[in-house]
Amino acid sequence: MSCDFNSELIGAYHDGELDPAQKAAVEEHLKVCASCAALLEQMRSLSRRARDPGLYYEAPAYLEARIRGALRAELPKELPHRAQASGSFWKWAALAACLALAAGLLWNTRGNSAQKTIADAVVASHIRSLLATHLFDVPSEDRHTVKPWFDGKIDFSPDVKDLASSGFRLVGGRLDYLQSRPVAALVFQRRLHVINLFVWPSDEGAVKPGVIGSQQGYNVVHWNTAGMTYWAVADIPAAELQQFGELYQK
Amino acid sequence: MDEPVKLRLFEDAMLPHLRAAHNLARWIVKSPQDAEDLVQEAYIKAFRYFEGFQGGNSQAWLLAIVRNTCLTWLRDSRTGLSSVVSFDEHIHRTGEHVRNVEEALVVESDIGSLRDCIEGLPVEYRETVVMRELEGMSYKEIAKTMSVPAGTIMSRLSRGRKRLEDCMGSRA
Repeated sequence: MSCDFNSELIGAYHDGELDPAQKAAVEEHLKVCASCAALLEQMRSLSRRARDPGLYYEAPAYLEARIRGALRAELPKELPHRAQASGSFWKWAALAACLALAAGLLWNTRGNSAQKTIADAVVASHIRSLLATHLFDVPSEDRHTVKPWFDGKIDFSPDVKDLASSGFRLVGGRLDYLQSRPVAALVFQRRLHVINLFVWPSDEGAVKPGVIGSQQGYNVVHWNTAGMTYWAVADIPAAELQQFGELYQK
Repeated sequence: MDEPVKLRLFEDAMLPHLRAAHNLARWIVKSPQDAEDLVQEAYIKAFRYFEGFQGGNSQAWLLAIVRNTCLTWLRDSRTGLSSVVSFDEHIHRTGEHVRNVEEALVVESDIGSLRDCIEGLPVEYRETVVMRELEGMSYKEIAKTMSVPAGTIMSRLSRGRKRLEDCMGSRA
């Protein structure tokens, strides 16, 4: 007994790949068609047998260790920090963008969506800089060291200030990647807390420092001045971060 | 913000798929030694391309690289050697799985036949059957791994299963 019902649909039914309407149609047909019902039974039997562990080629235990070793051999060996940063920066930066995007999905706060997107990325980048033990490309408390370090690495020159007298000590800078572009990340210390200040050019008008939101104890303060946009993030009270922004903008 | 961090993220995301990667490679190339080497090669490539991973299904992303690595290797080494290795390996495996003689005869003949029949499938059916029946992947996941529409997976599975039934029937 044969039938002209699409046997691919029987397979998709067996695999649980049909939408409810298609599923119901196949079930109706199976009630009246012995050959399709037999085909389904055949598929079920095949799938049962295919689950026999004897058919599954388990990876030998040493393979994982071998691969871990081979991956480590891929890492650059003993490069000076700066060279490593420039060599691996773009690869890493793209990954960072993915992570920032993922972190963004978890961020719930007020503010407009464009600002929210940036704030998401800023917080993700901040957390990453702390986790990754890669806070600096250039560790220095001297703004005359930090500022020139960015020359040739990015297409703008960030305004680097030291606010140590107000309790915000410059400790270094690094390249980071936000909003699909390289940005300057300036790192400050407030007591035992780290402030990341992200800077990149922007054609938006001047905006006074304001708190954009907070998430998981991290506050974000944003302002625009002199053709640059600034995003500060830290786990210090919003008012303190706001103060940092106001001092920096002066 | 450096390579060791990237490595850690990569390993966390991709090493859990080693079991599936090895099984797929082993079924595609049919040789244990080559499968291990190719899985390793695929992992190295995946690490280099890791920035291209946009999130989402990491297993499908990795398996796509494993599959490409294996298919490229197959194309470059059509010498007939792999079928000899696979034959030796089959004898070896049969010995491994003996539980008691009687059970072994029944189970091994059935599972052994199924193994031979899957191995005898053209590679595009073989890999589809392995991903669906052995890995339990969805059409969408398989389609992503192979860069084809899900409808293609549906018809490849249908034809692959038909061939398997015919093959098993001819051995019964």
